[in-house]
Amino acid sequence: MIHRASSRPGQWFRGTAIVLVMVFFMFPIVWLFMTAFKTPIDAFSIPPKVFFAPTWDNFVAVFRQHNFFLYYRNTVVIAVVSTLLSMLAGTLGAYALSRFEFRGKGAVAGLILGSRFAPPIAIILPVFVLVRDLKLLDTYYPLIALYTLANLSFVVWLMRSFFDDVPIEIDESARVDGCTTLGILWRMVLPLARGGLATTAIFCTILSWNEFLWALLLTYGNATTLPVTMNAFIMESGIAWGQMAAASALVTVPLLAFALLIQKQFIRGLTFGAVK
Amino acid sequence: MPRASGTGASATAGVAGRRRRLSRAWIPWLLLAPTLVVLVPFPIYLLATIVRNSLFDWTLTMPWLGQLFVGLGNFRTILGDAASLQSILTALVFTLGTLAAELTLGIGVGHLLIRETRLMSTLRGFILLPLVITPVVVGLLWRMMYQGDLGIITYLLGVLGFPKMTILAHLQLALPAVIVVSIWQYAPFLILVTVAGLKALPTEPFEAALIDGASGWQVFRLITIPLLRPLLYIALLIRFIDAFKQFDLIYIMTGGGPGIRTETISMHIFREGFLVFHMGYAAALTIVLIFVVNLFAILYFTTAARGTRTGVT
Repeated sequence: MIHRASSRPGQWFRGTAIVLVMVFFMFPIVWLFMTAFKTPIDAFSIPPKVFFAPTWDNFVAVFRQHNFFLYYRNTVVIAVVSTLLSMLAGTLGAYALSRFEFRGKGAVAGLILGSRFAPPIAIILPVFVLVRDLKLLDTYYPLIALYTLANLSFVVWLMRSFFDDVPIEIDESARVDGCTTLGILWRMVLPLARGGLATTAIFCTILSWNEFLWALLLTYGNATTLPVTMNAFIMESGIAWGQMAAASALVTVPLLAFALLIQKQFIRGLTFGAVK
Repeated sequence: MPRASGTGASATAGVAGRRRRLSRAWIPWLLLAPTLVVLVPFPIYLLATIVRNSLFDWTLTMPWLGQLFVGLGNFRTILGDAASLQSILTALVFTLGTLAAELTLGIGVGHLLIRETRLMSTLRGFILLPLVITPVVVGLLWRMMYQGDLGIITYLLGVLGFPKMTILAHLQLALPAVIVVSIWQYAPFLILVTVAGLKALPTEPFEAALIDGASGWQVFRLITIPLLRPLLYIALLIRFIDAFKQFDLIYIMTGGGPGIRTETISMHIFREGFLVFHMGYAAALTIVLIFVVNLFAILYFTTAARGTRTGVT
């Protein structure tokens, strides 16, 4: 792409458009965080208040009422364990697809990708009955298993694209030096692809962290995760908007931090490594 | 692009390497085993179960009624059931509405944010934030802003002279309002894809066009868009599949209402499966959902992908 120098009015138009776009995309997030620090009166005063005395009351109320720490712990444990499992299996598969030629490779890669397209609502119907019969409802296990499964194809495709960036000569010289395949992967290739590893792991964590439908249907309080908890603010006493916003902020902050960490690789992740 | 096979070992390993690779033929399969052990049997089991269930009339909460084999009866019911057909249509409207806006915004805003300045790169960092926020949170947040008496959007619309109303309960406005939220959350994806695509474009065609005196619009229509097309196709396919099965945003904001105005097929399956527990009927609807999603994926791989190969590369 090359750019031509824009005219004065052109620049003004451009600047105005950028401001409008940024307001559209950023305002709701700013509004969420502002509401989290407002008293109920400030939150719904007409006209809406932009300047107000911030308060921590909503956060205190969230911690008091809603087993929030338990749900936060559930979410972290389930997201971390399922991420580790899918990374463990998926990285090996990705390495095979990146480095080896074998019959049926294209079919295997396609099969792995295809499983990603299954609608969550389709999976949950038979899984719900299965989990119920296994007496595993409201435990960590079904969610960890499902998230591992859902992330696996993603890990394979994304890590494969990161492995492709590591020159094959590294493998070859290590092999000449007598390294085994796993040795090469572990000692030579993985350290060089550590940025990709981090990116992939963060994506898996975000996906598990945000998942709603399966968690809604498979947990009833003990293994409940944060997105399902958010739902509870609707059920009780109308909607407690301030508390809802405070809880939302607590759920969202790690995600925003993650997003900024992997900003450079973001599109690559969202397109399964197709766009760099 | 998904790489063509052959980039890895074969590209560099010579004849000597080939023999070694043959004797090592089992290694990639061993590496893939953990993935395949999970990813092959389980989906087969799920699919088989769904197909089997779709042939039965079975209410989970009334086990004493048993499971009655009805053949294709559930599918025949779908064809005669206005709510089911409507939910497929609603999902299509939702998907095409959000995709059209996302594509327009993506190309437009992508062009705005392309320049390599510190400011633009910061803005690009900000604009990806909606993508990572939990959809449930996004739904609640917009529900708050759409609220009838006190929501900020309702207030701003009031200032502009529109009558006060609860937008998400409005028969005509509920679906567009939900689509706006989907656009807010997912348009950044197409914006960032466009930026990445524009950056990777070769400069020669643009230089040639400048020399030939092409107008900005001509350059855009005849050079930029055709060069971006393969990338946009991939992004749109990914978004189509996700939007068509969208559940959490809609569940949180409207629960499918008012009436069934925002009930997409995923919502409808949820209701049939988990509110009235018609497992057989829900399974049949699921098969329709899987069919539509795959239909578009196949359409992409047979038409768009092929056009790409001959047209651009």
